[in-house]
Amino acid sequence: MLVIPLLEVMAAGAVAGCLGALLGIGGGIFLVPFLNVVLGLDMKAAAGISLMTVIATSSIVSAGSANRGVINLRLGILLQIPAVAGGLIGAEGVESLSQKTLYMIFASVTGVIAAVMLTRLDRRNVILDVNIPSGQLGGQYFEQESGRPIVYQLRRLPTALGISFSGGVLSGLLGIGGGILQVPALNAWCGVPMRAAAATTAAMIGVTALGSAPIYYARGDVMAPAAAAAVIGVLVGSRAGMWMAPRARAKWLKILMAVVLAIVSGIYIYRSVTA
Amino acid sequence: MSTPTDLDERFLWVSRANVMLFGAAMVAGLVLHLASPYGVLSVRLLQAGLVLLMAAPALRILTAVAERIRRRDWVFVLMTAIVVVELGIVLWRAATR
Repeated sequence: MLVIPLLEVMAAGAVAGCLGALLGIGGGIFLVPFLNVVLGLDMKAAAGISLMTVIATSSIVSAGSANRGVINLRLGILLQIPAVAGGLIGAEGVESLSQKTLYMIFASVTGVIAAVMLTRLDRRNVILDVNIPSGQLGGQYFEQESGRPIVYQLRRLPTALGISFSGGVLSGLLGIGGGILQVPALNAWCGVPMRAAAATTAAMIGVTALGSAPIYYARGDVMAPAAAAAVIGVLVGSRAGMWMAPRARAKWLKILMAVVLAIVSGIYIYRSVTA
Repeated sequence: MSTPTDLDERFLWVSRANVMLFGAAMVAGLVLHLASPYGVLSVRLLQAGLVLLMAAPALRILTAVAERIRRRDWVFVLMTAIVVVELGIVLWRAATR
């Protein structure tokens, strides 16, 4: 790969890492379309590189100090049980799907999630009385935005498990990490505040990606120079995202995520029609 | 309820060291690749970087579970053990391709 494409991949990795750390969705949702649409890599090669950046983003979030109080590790590891199984199924199953089918899946998933996010902008999922127990899988943290402690309970555990499995399958199929489903679903349906959902998912999404990445690597779908360039970009970009995360307003995080997803969905509707 | 603030602070250096290792291997591999595309050393460094990268999430959950064993949080340990078994199956599937 030439110097200029590698620099482009590095820059795309930086943007993906920043948005991924900020939104808790790993960044793959931004990188896969770039690699696929702009650089012309096929979906499996784009997914293989993207999975590496998802792991890198998650590793940096895990190794950093920011957001540590917000991460709900107990809930995160529970959700990895179905997510890793889904990741393996997705990575194995992608070989039997055409590019057009993958485009349609990509367009559908991003479009639905953008719509869900936009219809639930004002949902807070916060228990105002801090004396109410958060339960085995809930949590509490101090929110800088409002200057007070936040307590939340997990609701609809089967939904959270099912969504995590689906997120794992999508991660394996498309290389986008499972956070693309987990973050909005935990927030909209399971009672977890956006910031806790994003931080927990960002920390754990590397494990989901590990359910697929070794399969892609063994299959030869990870172009090492491009993957390294993307990961180095992510190393820089995710630091910026982590710095911005505690300072960003939850409502604007949701709007940003919905707008980006809607654009990606439009691109893939077009590609699935013209493929 | 989770108590994440001090959960695996003791092992944080492991995660940080691994990030520095895979980052350094990838930067060095990429620089060598640009100087001499697909040379033996650059390919080995890039592959080492990718393997170290893939080891990062596994290290993360192993260090977290070590802390939870110390705290006798057996439910967390059981959940993590299931994930570790699943990851073992993934590695086996990858190795037998």
